[in-house]
Amino acid sequence: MIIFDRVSIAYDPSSPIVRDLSLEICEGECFVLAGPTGSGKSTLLRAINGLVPRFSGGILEGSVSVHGRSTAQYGPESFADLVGYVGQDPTASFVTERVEDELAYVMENLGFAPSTMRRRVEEVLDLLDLHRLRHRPLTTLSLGERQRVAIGAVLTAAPPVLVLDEPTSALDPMAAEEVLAAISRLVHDLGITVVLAEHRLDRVLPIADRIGVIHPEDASLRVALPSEITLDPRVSPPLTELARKLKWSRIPLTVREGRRASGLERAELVGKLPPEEATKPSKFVARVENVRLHYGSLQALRGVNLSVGAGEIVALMGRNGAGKSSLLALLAGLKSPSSGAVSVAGLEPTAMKARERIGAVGLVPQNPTTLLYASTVEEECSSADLEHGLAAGSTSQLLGELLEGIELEAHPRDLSEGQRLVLALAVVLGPQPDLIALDEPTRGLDYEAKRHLAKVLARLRDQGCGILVATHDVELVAQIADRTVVLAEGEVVAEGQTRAVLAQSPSSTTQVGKVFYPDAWLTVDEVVAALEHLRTEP
Amino acid sequence: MRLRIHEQIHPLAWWLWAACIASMALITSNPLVLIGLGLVAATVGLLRQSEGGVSAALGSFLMIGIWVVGIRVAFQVIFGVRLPGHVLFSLPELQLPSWAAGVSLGGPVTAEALIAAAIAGCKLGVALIAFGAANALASPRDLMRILPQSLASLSVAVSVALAFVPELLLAIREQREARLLRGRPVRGLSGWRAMLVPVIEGSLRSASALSASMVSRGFGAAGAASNRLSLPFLTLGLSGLGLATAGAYLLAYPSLPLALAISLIVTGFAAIAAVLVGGSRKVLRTRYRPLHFGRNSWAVLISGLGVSAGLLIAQSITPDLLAWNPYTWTMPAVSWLCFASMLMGLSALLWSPLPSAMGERRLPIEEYVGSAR
Repeated sequence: MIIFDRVSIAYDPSSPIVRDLSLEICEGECFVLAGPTGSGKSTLLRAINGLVPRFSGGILEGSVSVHGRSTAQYGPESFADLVGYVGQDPTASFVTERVEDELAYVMENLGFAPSTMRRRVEEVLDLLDLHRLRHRPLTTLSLGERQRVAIGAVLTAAPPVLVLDEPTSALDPMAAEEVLAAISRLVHDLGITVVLAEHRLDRVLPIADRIGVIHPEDASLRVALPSEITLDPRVSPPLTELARKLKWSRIPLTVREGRRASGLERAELVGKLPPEEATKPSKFVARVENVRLHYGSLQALRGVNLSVGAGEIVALMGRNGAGKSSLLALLAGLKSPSSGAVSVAGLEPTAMKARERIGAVGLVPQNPTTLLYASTVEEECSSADLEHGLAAGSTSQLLGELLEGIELEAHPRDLSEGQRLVLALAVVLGPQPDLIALDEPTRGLDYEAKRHLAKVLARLRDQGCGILVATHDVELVAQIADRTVVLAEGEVVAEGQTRAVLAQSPSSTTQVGKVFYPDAWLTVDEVVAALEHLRTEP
Repeated sequence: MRLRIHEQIHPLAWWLWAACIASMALITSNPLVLIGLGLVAATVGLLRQSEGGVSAALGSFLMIGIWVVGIRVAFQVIFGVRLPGHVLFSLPELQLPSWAAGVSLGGPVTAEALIAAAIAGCKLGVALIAFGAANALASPRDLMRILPQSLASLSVAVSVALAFVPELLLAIREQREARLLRGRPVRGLSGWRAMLVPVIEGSLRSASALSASMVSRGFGAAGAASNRLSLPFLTLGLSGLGLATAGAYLLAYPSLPLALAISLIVTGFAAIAAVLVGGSRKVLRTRYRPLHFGRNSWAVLISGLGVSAGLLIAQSITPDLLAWNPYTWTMPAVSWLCFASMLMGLSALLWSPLPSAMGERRLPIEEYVGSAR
């Protein structure tokens, strides 16, 4: 049992993260922590085993205790047998080099007998389906495998409580499902108490018992049952949004419930999908022809063809390591292909001078913070103006157009994830590149920030930009992409109109798409619009 | 002696093997012996690098070794001591004030001086290659695991440092790419200065993530209170250290009896060993699959010791074998025992299992750095 007793946590006394929080998480419960980016989900999770404030600084008032042990009296190391804490980046958490050693590490620290260790390691290997990887060096694992090893590495101590910080945020949908299936097994078969933070509520709603949403404006945590959570538009997944807009009496949490609830609408909409005309872009801003790229013996790209037209959004999908980022790096001139041709605005990116190149292609990397150097937003904008030879104030004006309400005096690192992304985008857009490439832009964004990003990208498209977005996020792809290209093992496996590509397979489509399968409806808005249209003019 | 093919070599055996080669490299100035030692270390390192080992280590240490030779030669050219010899070319000489009488700047550069500098650089270079080979053969983390428990904090420092280096390199690449994306200069002083803060920040962040992960997995829980040595152990350890140091110092004075120096060193090390063993009893950490120092490991260790022994015996038979003076313009001496000791070093290949090809598939996470995060 985890008890927060009138807890206030603050790094800066004037703006606490939570104020006066009292919460009890019962044994065997699966508690999901949600809330906008930067609202303090990680802080709250780290307070459970005392990493906050002992490791992070800041002030914690009130008391946090787990099974009667209070973090005020004991340090995080004394909670290893009670709380298994898995941080956001599994790779950064690895201490040893091989899977088996990593699993044994916590038990070595706690002084388990060698025979017990052997036994526990075997059990956890089976439980998380890691037995085939047991002798593998950790660096050779995929991200999903790493996440499962990181979970296993705390489970071997058999803690009654498991704390997971965004366990699926870096994963492609399949790997995320693997990890969630493992978590669900822990909750249901072993009765472990699980507390996890997650942006993508649609993924975790089926296993959650209660959901706590942090409201940064008044530093409070509001706890609700999964069926009630849907009242908060900032955290609601597409399925609940659909249910709300269609005024269903019960809000479905899973696709299965969604299909059962939507029988009427599905019957009504059969064959009503408006025909789509394939638009031919007037000119191409980027072309990749039969490109191969290898690092040593590893083939990252094997003969890829791709083109992006002006005024077109192309989505690049595929699992982690499929070659998406390599392709973006080629287009941005960070790498040259081993063979084949890459051209952006008619020229080869690596052959261009720095000035020309940023005028032809702008890449916003996965971690947009790396693009920002200055100590305030304003400084960042004015230095971008200077660099790109623009009139003073143009970048900050652009920023204002993209997103309102960014404080110009703020330090870029203090902005929310979404704001930072837009700031990086504004900086990259300064020289008016023909092609804009974004790598996993929705990672770490909440639903609202994602909706805003979709609007911004749609506007840039209308201004004639060619946009290439590498992403795992099917919902975003369904909303904005004109065409979708799916990569696997460095090859293009599917390409075409987004709707056609996404509807090809029920497991990789949007939530709405899964509910309406085999009809190719993808987004809430189009379903709602079509139904309204049908019902108003019979 | 029957050897088991699949027996894993104990990391300590590999590191001692490499230490034998490195120590020989440091005491010899015979270029032929140096080349032989370098080849032995590099060959075994390349052919037997383990999966856990730092596979890039050998290459990087080879590069560092070459740099060391280059820098050593450059220093000789600029600052070197001027002894008479065959002058190759002359640099303008700078007259230094009297207080810097020992240092010379510029002046004639002789072939002998250059050769001597290159050999001095090579000694360090070969020792570095041996160290790189040790890294490739057995992961330093595995070595840390077998340290006595009372040195646990040392092993933590090493693990954090080991995690820090690749993160640092990754952070540097990430910043480089970000600057390319913004069309800013990547090279030159301004490029480096601007990269410094984000790079250091990034690697500190990952080091703190690692330490948070270690602590929340109970690091220091069992041994926290007892990890500190008690006063008697501390006194014993410090006096042992003092005795050993004094003994090593006495070694340098040939006028004093050798037995005194050696007995001081032995007593000192015995005291230190007692502290390490006695102190570690108190720590309640256990070991998963403790490594076994088996026959093959002994064979590897003996092959390393054989290199040292062979060369030292060769030196006693042929004086001036290990010490070669370029100013004499004679061929460096070699004897059949030299070859034998090199072969002895190579024989480690026979006792160690081939690195297993476990169907590894490396995740292409290095597409570009932004994607690895």
